[in-house]
Amino acid sequence: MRALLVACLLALSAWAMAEPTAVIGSKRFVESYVLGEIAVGLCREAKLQAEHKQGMGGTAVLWEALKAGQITAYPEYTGTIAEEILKRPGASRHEMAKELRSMGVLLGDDLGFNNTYAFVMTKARAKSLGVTKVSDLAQHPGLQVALTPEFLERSDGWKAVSDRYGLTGLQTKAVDHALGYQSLVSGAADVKDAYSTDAQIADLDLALLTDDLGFFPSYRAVYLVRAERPDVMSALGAASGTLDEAAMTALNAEATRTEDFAGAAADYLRSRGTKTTSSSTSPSLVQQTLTLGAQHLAMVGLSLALAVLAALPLGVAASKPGPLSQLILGVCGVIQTLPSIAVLLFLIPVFGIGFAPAVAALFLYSLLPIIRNTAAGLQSVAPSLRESAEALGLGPWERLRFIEAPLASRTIVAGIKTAAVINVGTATLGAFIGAGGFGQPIVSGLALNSVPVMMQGAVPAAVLALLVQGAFEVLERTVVPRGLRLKPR
Amino acid sequence: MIDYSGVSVDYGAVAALRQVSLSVPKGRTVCLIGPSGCGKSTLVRVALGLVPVTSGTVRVGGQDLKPTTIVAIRRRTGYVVQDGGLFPHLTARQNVLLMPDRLGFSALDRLGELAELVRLPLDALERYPAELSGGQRQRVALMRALVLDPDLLLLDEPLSALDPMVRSGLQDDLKEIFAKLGKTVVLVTHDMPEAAHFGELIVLMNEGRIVQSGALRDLLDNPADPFVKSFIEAQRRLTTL
Ligand SMILES: Nc1ncnc2c1ncn2[C@@H]1O[C@H](COP(=O)(O)OP(=O)(O)OP(=O)(O)O)[C@@H](O)[C@H]1O
Ligand SMILES: [Mg+2]
Repeated sequence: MRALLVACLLALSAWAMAEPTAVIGSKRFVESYVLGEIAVGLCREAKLQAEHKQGMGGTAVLWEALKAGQITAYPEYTGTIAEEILKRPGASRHEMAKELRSMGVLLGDDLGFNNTYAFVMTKARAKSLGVTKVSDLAQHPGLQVALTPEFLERSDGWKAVSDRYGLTGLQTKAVDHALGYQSLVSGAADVKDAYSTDAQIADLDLALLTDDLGFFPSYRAVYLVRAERPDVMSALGAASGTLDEAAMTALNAEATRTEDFAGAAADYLRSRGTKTTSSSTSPSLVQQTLTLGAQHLAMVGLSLALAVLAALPLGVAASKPGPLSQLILGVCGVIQTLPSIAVLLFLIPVFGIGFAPAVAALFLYSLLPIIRNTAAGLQSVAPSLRESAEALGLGPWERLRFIEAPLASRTIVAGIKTAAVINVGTATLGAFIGAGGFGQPIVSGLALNSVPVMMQGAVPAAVLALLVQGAFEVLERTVVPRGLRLKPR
Repeated sequence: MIDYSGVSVDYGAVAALRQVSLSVPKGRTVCLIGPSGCGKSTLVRVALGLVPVTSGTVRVGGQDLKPTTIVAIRRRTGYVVQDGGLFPHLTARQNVLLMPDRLGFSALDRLGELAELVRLPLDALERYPAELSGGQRQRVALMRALVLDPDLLLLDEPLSALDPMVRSGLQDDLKEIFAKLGKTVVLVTHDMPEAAHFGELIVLMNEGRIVQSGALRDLLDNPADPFVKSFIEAQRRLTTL
């Protein structure tokens, strides 16, 4: 008996002392997803609880989330840390580590590859011309160069490179990144700009030209980890120096082909001779749709319910003309015009990432249609009916409850319906901040440039919007009194 | 029953009533008549506290009209607004029983009595206002005004939307009801023969003022000013086609 008690206490204290789950974030592109999955796998190997918030956004979102403690770690690149995060271009590794440390963040070791700008050619073409490095291009002024519009525009892009390497004589044209690879293969272009670990480099068997004058800053991949989790840092340290460009490119290619980031990460972990403890076997499409659907509905349902609770009283207040009404409608109008991505970003410092800020954003967007329709519905109650109700001796609350609200019910329900349907669409953006839902396949599809993957989110989201619309039509029939649905004679 | 003294009402810049003084005696039927926009409806609304007065005082049933008395006065008064005022989301029965239900007493037997009094077929009670004829709607509105057995009835053009046949039938019914119930009635109309039909006392208004009040004969024989004369002339021309 006593032994049992001690065991219980021990188990309890172990549970209480257990470190909280490490939350790994990732940016919205394939490589970041894969590195995120690898980090989860490494944590689990080290017996740490870990989960992955996929494709939360760009540098700003991830960095804010890390600082706010919403995530524990995420993969980043040294060039980005120096230029975008610390705003100290050219800072040394040591300087970066020190400054990050003062912000409560640990800089992990180099994973082994540099994902920077680079030039690529097909291996056959490079071989026949004898080109292995960027400066060799100057010998071949007739070459066609396909550049992404962004690289062509940037002041530190083509203009600076061609000056440095004496390539100003080469023919350039602006071509979309994905199409640029096609034109290399078809022979329409000879050279193209790339990221040095693009999946296509492995898939299309391309040659990376050496940046022999060291023009491009280095973007070495590292993990950033919150300082209070040295255990996570040491778990992730297992990956240091294990991924060179070729290995990362191969993983990216595999993830792009199989559309399975966890699978690619598992291959990497296996290749390091460790058993995968990752439970990331891909769920079936039906299962995935159901899980995402549940997340989506939870976001929409909760935000809508809260919005109804808040918006109905506000709508009643806004129905009486005056400064209060103008204030309410004005503020809601302004919220509505803010871009949803901006609203999500503003909410991260307050609500963190994931479900809560998504619900908060959807809540804010739902207010205006409901408030406006409630106010309009109440205002449109015929003066003679308002007067009759008053003359009967009904108090203000009774008039609202028994006369004005039922008379306005059709308009009010229509407002809630509008909010709900818009909500189903807007909730797809929740995936940008790790809230899941049908936006997740859309975001992954964008990263993979895969229409079928996007469809796995877009189609169910559209179907859900129709279902919600239908449900409200049924609701309308039960909520709106029959006498109002009759055609008046 | 109602005492207006020196009552003025302004809607913004529009002066709807100017210094009106009038006494409505208990148990009598008073008809308010006058051209459109002269302030008849406003005078009725003032008695229910539905519009604030700019100056003057109103007493109803011996009580000053103030925020503390207003609800009690409204519940002792039956009111039929100019364009019906039945709630379209409630059936005829629910319209009539709204106040008794709110006040928590059963008026079910009263419902049958009232339907008989205003000659409304019982099955019409289960219908929505949109499913009733104009005359039936007016009868339901009257039932709703009578259901709390008020001392005072305020009827603002209860018959003007009806065709002449229905209208004359309802005029007779109403007169009978008033006689039977012995209530104080203020009835607004813009039709002289209708006023003559109901009113022991006829109050003629113009531009927010009472121009003359008295029995029909008074108005015919001793018009107080040229307006009274021309108003009666105009009404005569209309009715003796
Ligand atoms: N809510 C209001 N706001 C502004 N002016 C009003 C309002 N109600 C009435 N008025 C004005 O007050 C004056 C008196 O209106 P009232 O409704 O009392 O006239 P009435 O004698 O009942 O007319 P009718 O025979 O057409 O019903 C009119 O000039 C009208 O335009
Ligand atoms: Mg009127």
